[in-house]
Amino acid sequence: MKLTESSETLLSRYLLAVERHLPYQGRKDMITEIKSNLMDTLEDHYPADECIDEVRLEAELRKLGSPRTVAAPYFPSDALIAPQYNTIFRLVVTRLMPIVVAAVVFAGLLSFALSRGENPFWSLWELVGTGWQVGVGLIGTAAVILMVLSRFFPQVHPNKEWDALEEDKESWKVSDLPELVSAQDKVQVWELAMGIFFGLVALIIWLFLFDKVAGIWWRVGGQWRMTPIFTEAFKNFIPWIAINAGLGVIAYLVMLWKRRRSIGSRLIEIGTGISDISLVSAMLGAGTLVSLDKGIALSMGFPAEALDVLQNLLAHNAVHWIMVAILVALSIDLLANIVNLVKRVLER
Amino acid sequence: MKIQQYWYLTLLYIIQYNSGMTHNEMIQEHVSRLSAELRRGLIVLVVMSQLDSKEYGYSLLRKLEERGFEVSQDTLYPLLRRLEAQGYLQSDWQIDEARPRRYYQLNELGSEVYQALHQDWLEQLKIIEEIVR
Repeated sequence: MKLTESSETLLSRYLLAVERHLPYQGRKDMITEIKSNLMDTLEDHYPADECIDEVRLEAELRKLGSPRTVAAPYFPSDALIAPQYNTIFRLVVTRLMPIVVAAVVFAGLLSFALSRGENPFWSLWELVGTGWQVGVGLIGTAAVILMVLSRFFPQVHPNKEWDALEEDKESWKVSDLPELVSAQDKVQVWELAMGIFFGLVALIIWLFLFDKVAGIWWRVGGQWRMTPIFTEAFKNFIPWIAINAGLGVIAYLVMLWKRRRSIGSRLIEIGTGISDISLVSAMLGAGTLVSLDKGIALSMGFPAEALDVLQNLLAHNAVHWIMVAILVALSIDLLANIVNLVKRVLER
Repeated sequence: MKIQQYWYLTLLYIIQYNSGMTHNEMIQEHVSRLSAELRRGLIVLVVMSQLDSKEYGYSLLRKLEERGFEVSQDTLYPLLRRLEAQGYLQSDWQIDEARPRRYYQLNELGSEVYQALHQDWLEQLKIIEEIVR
């Protein structure tokens, strides 16, 4: 078997293409062996004195498949991220990313609270956006790095055949297994996470930003403007409101830690519920909580029609009836929590 | 068998019938796919069994073919390298022939592992024969 000059060129080009798809480690050795085996095949298929032209060689190479197909089995896995890098990727996604995002959001909230930003709504949205960018960016960067490593160094431990399940075979104890949770005690992690996030945002607003953001907002001449509506009588209740909001966050944190509603978390919820009902009852008897100074609002450019509607609502005790509705809802919620707590205690 | 499974099989049969396949061809296709899976599980044992003496990739491929065990090049060649990386084979390039060839052979560990694997296979075979009568 002999190769013509053009078929020699075709073979070299084919092998070069295969080589480019092979793992970086041991590439030269692999391509030498692939060439040797390929020449053995050709020699076996054609008599010693026969000349193989480009067309016949191409037909032989097509039987082998594309260069990528020939190179693919030399990788331990065809996954973009090789199995041995899976543990690192999982650590980045499940451990590192939440910690970094939480740290970024916490730092943002802290600086936001301390600086008392000029445009609090936008600052909060920017913070959410930054948290998202950091999280997704971290996952993406880790994926790209691990894909590159998988491409060039697919076999970290050459003497060890990778077992995808090996990493899950670590020792475990029965006490580590989660307890069965009844339907009444089940919680959704994302709901709790949202509750904690918005609870913290509410706390920051109540404690640090109330005067800047609490009021009626209106877009006048392309700019957002606010006129305050809450009276001093209302502001006297802010510490109490903040304490209740803080208790709510604590209840969510306890549930998140336990991954279920526990007797402890129910007691906190009941305590918060009683405090909320007391607060709303006290507010109902505290006189005027909301008032609108039409003169100031008009001077700020608020439309007169909108102000008329608001004044009309206030004149018909809208705030009072909203508070009554809140009181009813809180009472029902408190009753349900007490019933559930009693049930859980009796079940034990 | 649930009624949905009957529907699924009927649909599958209609699709295959309309694709121009006869019933026997269809069965044969299923069998060859499943048979390939069976052979894939045995390939390490078969390859190791032939490496008590030195063999290079293509010679081993032909040897297995002649004995009726067909294996593709893109399966066998990377497998030899993998078995070597796992420490069961030793290899060396021989350059005194028409072209350099890499020869593989079981090393001491490989021989012991193969003996044990062979024994294990025979026991498994007995059990399987008992089950699949």
